Formats: sequence, C-alpha cells, structure tokens
Amino acid sequence: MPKTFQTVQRVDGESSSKEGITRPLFSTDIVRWQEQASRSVYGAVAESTSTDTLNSSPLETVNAPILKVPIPRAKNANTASKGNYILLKRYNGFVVRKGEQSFVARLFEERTDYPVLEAEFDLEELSTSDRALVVEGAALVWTIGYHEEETRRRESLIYMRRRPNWNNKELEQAKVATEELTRGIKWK
Amino acid sequence: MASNGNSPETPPSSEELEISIFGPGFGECIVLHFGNGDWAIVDSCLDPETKRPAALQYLESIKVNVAKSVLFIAATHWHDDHIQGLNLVFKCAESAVFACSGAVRHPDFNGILSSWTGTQYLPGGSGLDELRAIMVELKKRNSDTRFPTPVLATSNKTLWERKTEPISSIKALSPSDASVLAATAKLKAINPQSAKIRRRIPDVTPNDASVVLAVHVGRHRVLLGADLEVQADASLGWKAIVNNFDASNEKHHGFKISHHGSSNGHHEAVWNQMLINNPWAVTTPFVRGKLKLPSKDDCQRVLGYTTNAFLTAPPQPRKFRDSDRAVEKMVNETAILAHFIPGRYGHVRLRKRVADSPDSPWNVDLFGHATKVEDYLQSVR
Repeated sequence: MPKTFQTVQRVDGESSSKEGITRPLFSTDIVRWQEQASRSVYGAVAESTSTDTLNSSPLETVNAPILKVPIPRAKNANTASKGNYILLKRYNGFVVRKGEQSFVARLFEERTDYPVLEAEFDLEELSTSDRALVVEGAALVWTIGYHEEETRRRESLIYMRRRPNWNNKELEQAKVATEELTRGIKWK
Repeated sequence: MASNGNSPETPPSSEELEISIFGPGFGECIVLHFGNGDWAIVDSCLDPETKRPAALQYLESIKVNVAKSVLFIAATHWHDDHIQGLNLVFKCAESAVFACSGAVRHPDFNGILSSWTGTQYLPGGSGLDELRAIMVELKKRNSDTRFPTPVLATSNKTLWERKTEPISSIKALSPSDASVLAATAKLKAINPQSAKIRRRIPDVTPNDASVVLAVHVGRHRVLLGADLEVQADASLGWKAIVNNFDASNEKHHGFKISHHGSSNGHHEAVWNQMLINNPWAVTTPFVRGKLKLPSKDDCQRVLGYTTNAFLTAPPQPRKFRDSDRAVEKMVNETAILAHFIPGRYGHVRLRKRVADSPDSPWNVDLFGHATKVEDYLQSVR
C-alpha cells in the first residue's frame, strides 16, 4: 500500500510553541481517528476513514495525543472534507511532454481558456502509482486550496486522471460517423 | 527596408501586394493580398487579448469584406498552433477555396480522424478537432454550387490561380507521396485502440504532411515554409522539395521560415537554391516549457543569410499571474516553471506595388511585439 507522509502542526496551548510531527498515512485509505483531543493543545483536528488499525483507539490523555488530519481523497478533491477544505483553483489538463525527471502540462480552468497555463513539474510531485501514467496526452488534475480548522495550511495536489479506456464499440461508432462525414465531401 | 510607420488599420491599395504574418508565440497566420482586393489566408492563430482569429480581426479592421474577398484558405497541417480558429475563418469566407494536405484522403486518415475526434476526450481539444469542424462545414457546402470545391495539396500542384492581371497563383511544393505515406503511418501507429488508456492526440513530429506553398503575384515570389523539417530520407521534408526544384525556376524574394526558425527546419540548399540573395525572412516564435524557438543560435544563423529578418514576437511566454495571490504563490512554488501561452503577439506586414521590380525594397511595418531579428539578439545579449 503506497504511503504518503504529511506534516501536522501541533500547538502547545501554553507556550504557543509549534512542533512538527511526521506520521505515515495511506494515500488511498484515510485513517479514522475518533475525535477527543483537547483543542487547547492540538491545533490540528482531523477525521477520516480507513481500515488501518494504527490509530483506531480513542484519544486518551493530553500526553498520548491522537492528531486528526483532514485528508482530501485524491479522486474527490473537489468535494473534499466538508468545512475543512477550501478549493481555490482546479485545473484540468494534459501532458504535453515527458522528460526523465519532469513533465510539461497544459492546464485549463475553463474549456475556453486562452491564453492557457503551461507548467513544468517534477515527477516527484506525483504519487508513485501516478508516475507510470504520465505519457503524452494523458489527463491530469491540479487542485490548490486550503485546509482549515483551527489553523490553515495551503495544499497543492496533482494527480493523473484515470479515464475509462477506449472500447471497440465507441471506436466503431466513431468510425461510422466519420465515414459518413468524409464521404459527403468532394475534393479536387 | 525601413518601417513606414503606418497604422495597422491602413488597408493596402488595389495595386499593392501584401504579406502579413501574425505570431503570438503559439501559432501563426499569414494573410496575403494579391492586389485588386483579392485575399488569401494560410493557417490561423488567435489574438491572446481578444481570443479572435488574427486573420479575421485584421481584415475586419481594414474593412475587407471577408465573405467576398477572401478567395483561398489553406491549412498547412493540423498541429494546434497552426489551425486554431481556422474553422471560424472558413465559415466567414464564403468565397474561399479550402486547401489542406493530401494526407486527409489517405485511406488510413479516416480511422485516425474518427478515433481522435469522434470519441470523448477532455478540455482543450486539438488541431484535429478544428480540422473535423472544417470538414463538417465543407460537407454542408458540398451540395451548394455557390461554394468552391475544396482542394487537396500535393507536391507541385497548383491550388489556386488568378488568370487576370496581375497573374497570381498558389502552388503546393509538398507533401510528396512518400511524405503522405510516412505521415499517415506515424499517426496510425499511435491510433487509439481498444483497452488502451484514453488520452489526447500527441503531436507527431516531424510533420511529414505539412504543406509548403509557393506564392506568385506578377513577378514576385514568396515561399511559405509551414512547419516542414529536414529529414535524412531524401524523399521527405525539405530535401524532397529542393531535389524537385528546377534550377530554371525563378527564386523567391521572401521566406516565411519553416518550423519557427529551428535548426531541424533549416536546409542550406533552400537559402542557396530557392531564395534570392538577402531575401526578406520572417519567423514566428514557439514556446513550450523551456523550449523557445528561434533560439539565439537560430537567429544568428538566419542573419548569416539575410539582414532583412524579422520576428513576429520574441519567443517569450507570458509570466503566470493570478488575481488570487495564494494561487499565484502556490503555482510558482509547485511548478519548476509556469507561464501563459501564447505570450507576446506581433504582426509583420510587408507591402510593395505589384508593378514594382522584384528587386525593389519592400515596405515593412512592425506592429505589437514584432521586431527585427538583430534587434532581438541585441536585447538578449
């Protein structure tokens, strides 16, 4: 199961000092932690669902914190955690060129965008499973937004779209329609 | 050649020949006046400010009746940057003969067109979608005798001519039969297949099906190089054209440099055998990621052949900006580079009287971000 690491900020209520904690999280499954943490200690509160048993026990005391981190599901980022995620921008696009360590994509907010955004990204910006999908013409999405609860942080998420494959029926129908179109044109 | 300082809205006189080349860093368009109010359009791009096809916008600004006066439209190939907006241009030009590469009548091309444009894809579209839209219009016009018959461009075929003075013609110098076969084979190799991942059509290069045009107006000759490249196989690309160019043919006085001035579009024999000494030469820029054409080396090379070299705009994209500062910051932090294409937009306009000697100078006007190549090189040193 692929893993992603997310840094969560913990705020000490008295001293206001901040400490970063890195926890392993699963990119496809979202961990469900029951919310009982004292908000005076932990600034970040999250809820999610998962089969993972790592953090299934409820919060016990302030000294054994369980952090709740809102994690938008990659495929549903535009409907992300209610109240926790503020979508600022969503681009659809396609890969224009792939290099050894990076790729260039053309991106649209609206279908009629012009001029269009063209951006080059490190392949590292994608999950391991998504990198194999980067071919010229492949579709992708880029969302930019804020996670907000007690604190707010920016998040940028790029993922490859997994569209249904072409099928014989569709290709055959397209062929018939195009033959009908081109048959009607007389050329010199 | 000196700039006239004319306004872009000054139309040519009926005795003047005009070649106007538009290029915004993604796309190019050429508008030609043959004298006596007859116009032609080759390829299409959009003005990034108005999003309108450059040709329509320009002709409307100089009060040309597009429906009656545009007599020829050509799509040299279907790459996105050469065909954007051409469908709208064609719909407005009711008197125009439409010409495109002979590759579209190859038996395999229908399959290519149907797979990439007849199935569901994603925003953005492609040049093939634009070509399909033109074919829909052609089909509508087919049954109406008011509209001229479209023509397929193949090597050494005259696509359009005017037999009244000044006698004028537009002749295709490519694609050759071998080029059509090569182009369709390449496209067929990447054709969508069942159970394969759905995607947008990738750009296939080199574009063997690209149409190079030789324009003759009276005694004046202009070579429009489209996106043709040089290839090892002498039956393809520029080598095929040069090999077929008869030494007795008259050389060309002007050149729309092929493939954005890149080194793979350069063939020395084109300059030595097909062009006069010191012709005028115009190139349009192209920007993709870190690739910027023409490069400084390309510009130096062109200046080695002519001092009358112009760029429709410098090959510089437009910096990414967003009204939301958080988005702007995030984009710039996440991407290695981010910019808008097209970038800057410019228009090079060349005019002279048709009756003038072919050796006489042209009047050149530079609008928008158009510049002389040597001035551009000075600015980036």
